Amino acid sequence: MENNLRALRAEKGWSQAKLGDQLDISRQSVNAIETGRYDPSLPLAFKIARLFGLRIEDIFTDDVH
Amino acid sequence: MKPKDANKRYFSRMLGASLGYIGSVFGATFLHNKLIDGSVLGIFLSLVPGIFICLMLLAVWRYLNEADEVVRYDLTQAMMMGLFALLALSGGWGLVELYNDSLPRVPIFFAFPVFFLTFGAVSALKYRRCV
Repeated sequence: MENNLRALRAEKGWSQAKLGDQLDISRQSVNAIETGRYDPSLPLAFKIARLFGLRIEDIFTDDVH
Repeated sequence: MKPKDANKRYFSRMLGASLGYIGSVFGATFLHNKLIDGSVLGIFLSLVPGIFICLMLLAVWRYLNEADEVVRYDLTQAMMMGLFALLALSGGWGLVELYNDSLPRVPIFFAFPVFFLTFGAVSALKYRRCV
């Protein structure tokens, strides 16, 4: 699964640590999601989407499409 | 719980239990050689390191419940690798021992270090990939 989390975070001017603080996850975990090494659970994906005011599918893209 | 708090609690718990384990292993070894071989006290003291092993495993368990899901995923994978290493070594070498009476027997004591060394090494490698 691909995502544009890094770009969205850059738009806000947030560091990985700051984004992690808002999501209650570590900076390393933000990095793992941004690089696609880890696909977040549905609750975390919703949390990320709510934080950016977007839908989940605006941030995460299935590889099939 | 904040990830930083979970990390701090995990490392302080693990450090305390590890130091206790090392100290109790050295203490039990010293007393076994000097004073208490075969006695009830000797058996009791040789059980003490096991208490610290339980505390270390409890620290990992609590960290699994307190950490965020990415850390939990990495930790679980590292533990699986530790388990695989332990099973491969014990199963592989166990058969070698079974069919060769002349070879030395590896004490079951080494199961714990094999698991935790593999678990620690894989955790460290996974952490480096995220930094």
